[in-house]
Amino acid sequence: MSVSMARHMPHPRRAAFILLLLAQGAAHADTDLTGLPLERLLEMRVIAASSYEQTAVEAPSAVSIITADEIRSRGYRTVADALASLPGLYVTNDLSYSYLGSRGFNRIGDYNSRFLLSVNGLRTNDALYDMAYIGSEFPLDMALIERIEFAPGPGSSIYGSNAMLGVINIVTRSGADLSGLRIASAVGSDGLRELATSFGRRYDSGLEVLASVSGLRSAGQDFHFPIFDTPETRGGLATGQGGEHYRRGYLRATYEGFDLEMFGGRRDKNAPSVYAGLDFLSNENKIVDNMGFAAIRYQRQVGADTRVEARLSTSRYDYAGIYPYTGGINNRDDAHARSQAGELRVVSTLWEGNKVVAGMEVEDDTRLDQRNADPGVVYLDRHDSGRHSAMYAQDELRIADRWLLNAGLRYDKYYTFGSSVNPRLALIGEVSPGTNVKFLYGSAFRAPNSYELYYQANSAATSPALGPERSRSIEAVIEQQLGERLRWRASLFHYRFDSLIDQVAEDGILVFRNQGSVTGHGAEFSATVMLPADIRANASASLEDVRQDDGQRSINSPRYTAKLALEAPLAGSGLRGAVDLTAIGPRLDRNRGNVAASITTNLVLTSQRPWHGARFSFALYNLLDRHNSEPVSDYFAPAQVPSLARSLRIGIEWRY
Amino acid sequence: MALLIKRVLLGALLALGLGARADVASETDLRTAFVYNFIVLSTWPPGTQPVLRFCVTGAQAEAAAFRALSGKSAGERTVSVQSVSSPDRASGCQVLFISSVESARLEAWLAAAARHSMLTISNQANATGAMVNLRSVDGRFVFDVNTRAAAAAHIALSSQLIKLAASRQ
Repeated sequence: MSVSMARHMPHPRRAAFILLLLAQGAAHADTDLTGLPLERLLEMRVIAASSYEQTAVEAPSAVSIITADEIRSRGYRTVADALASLPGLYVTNDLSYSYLGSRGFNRIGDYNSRFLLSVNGLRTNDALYDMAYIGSEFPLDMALIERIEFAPGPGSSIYGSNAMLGVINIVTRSGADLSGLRIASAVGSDGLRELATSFGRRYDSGLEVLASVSGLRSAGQDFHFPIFDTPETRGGLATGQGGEHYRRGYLRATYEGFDLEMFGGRRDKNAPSVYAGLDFLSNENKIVDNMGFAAIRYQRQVGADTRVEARLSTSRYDYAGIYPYTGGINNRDDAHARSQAGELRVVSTLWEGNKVVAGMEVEDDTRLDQRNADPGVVYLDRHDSGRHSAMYAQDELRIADRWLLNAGLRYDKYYTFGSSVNPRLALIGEVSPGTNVKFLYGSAFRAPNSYELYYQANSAATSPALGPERSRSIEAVIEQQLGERLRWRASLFHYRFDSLIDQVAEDGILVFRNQGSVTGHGAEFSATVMLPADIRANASASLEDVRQDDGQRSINSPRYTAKLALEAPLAGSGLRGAVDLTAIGPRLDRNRGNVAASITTNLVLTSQRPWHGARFSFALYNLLDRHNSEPVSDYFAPAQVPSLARSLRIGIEWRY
Repeated sequence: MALLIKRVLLGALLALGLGARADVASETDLRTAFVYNFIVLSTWPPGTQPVLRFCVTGAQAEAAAFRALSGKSAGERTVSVQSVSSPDRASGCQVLFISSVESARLEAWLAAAARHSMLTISNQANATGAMVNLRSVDGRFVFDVNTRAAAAAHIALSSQLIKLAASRQ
């Protein structure tokens, strides 16, 4: 386990200083290319995605964007890797799943249910645990992602349940973007082997197709767990921790206004051997996540100012957990969910100065099965179903030449607990050219999920009287574009979460109750600098103070986070280098013990020009091999487990 | 350990200083240069005023991104850059740049422009009804031309512009 590292943390002020140094060169580095002819311009490569950034300026949230270029050049393997680079976000990895925290909020044992994760607008949180799957279990190849958009804060006024801490939307690449066949492979430490192939094309008829299959195998890492350091338990040595294999598929076809998208995959994971009560020596603790999504969308322009969008979708999630208890009994946990959903939405600018979005949604959870059994003994065997519907409207009203008022309201009706109404108000102003301010207020909710309502294995009883969790947030944001190449943003926020669902013991039985409350406030600062010669730097820092009603600090709530990413071409080599630093301040584990501040450094080199038709990447994760600690849930015997050690990945890709 | 981190950072900064390649540019710089070429390679009907009003939809910052074009000459005319917040205020423009932010009311902008001899330039992911559409593919810009829309507005697009377009209609 780690010793205190707080003394060596890069101070946020130091990161800001480096940025300022970089910025000095940037402020007057506007390059006039207007003298160049079209032929030359067509050959040049773009280094920024400022059109999305421009959209983000008018969004009712402090939106951050991660582009396909950044995913490649910084070697992000999962959505969790990418999100961990954003201001105020922090990821905890328990060797099974990745758990996302934002602005100092991520209660240990939660399943990312306070984030909404969508792909091209399609919700992917499952219907049983409400989980946003951001680790390797999420069945979308990172090479298919065009960009990841993260909107922190409440989004329930338009997206409904789960959008409490933020909305993550993944936009995938189009067939025309890929344009041809791509084959990619990787090898690395811990027995890593990967293979992915994809094909994309836009045909003259207007039909656009993108198809991809991929798979990975990894043997996992060996760990020493001090609490099992006895001669009977191999001195605490556990091998193959977090080993996994997965396979995934993706298919999308668009034609005129129609859009069909299907994707899914299965991951088998060797879960860690240190779950409480499990046989440490057996190494047979396994978790299987298998999920699939399909959506058909139709979009049509009605007149000059109105667009109608319709979507039908279906999703499935199957889970199996095999837990070898001491004494040779294999406990098996199974869950199956099937959902169908439909959405209709109208976007109109018919009224001068207004942009109106209105829609309705229905979701039918036709199968919500949960089963838990030992050989010969069934503890739980439930077959439930669920249904909810919603209506929402939002208007973006230009109240003055430089001021927008964005007001939205959504009504959700659940057949379990009743209804929830959530507003959002955003006042967005351009106070001077390039300087924008936002004042945001919103409420959000999370409906109790089937796991919380019905899971009753062993000593847990059903909790049907559960209501939704609720939150309210206010935030003030200032963003400024200084010159062409420096952009910074600062944000101050305050939030309160009520009726949080906690698992508590009542008369010796574990039940879920609406009882937790927390209040948080803090500040975030981020900056992006683009220098000539294709050099980029991103830095961010956040400070948070999150407390329970009794005045104590919330668990797993770091006091600060700091991130720095530097990217640059390496002279003459045709390579691009990226260094990524992530620091998470000290936090409390489930027993209110101290989790030392952590710092993780990744180094990635990617080839920019093909060499004999191939492109390479070389990545070292946890470059300095720091032994950081991750706070974990009550399911684990210890309250903290070590984070992953240094690992190497070498990738090669061909395009035809 | 802190020393090691410092060295890594220093190394990265050194690499930043050394690496210099010319075939890349910021999206804003590149977009501005493309738009300038579109203007230079278009011809307005005789009698068009000597100052070409180049209007950019949306926020002031959008227009500010094109400030490099202010005062530049295009043939015998001079470019002047301004922002325009709604379609009904676009009537005095000779060039209209419809930013991607405005995609929801693209049709409204085009309808307003169609009543005048106005070169329309859009920045959409898919080819649209504008005379020239600029879009990015795999980190580079390409553009599409719509000669019919241009002819209807009495704007002549040069053969070079048409030849280099990714798609024509």
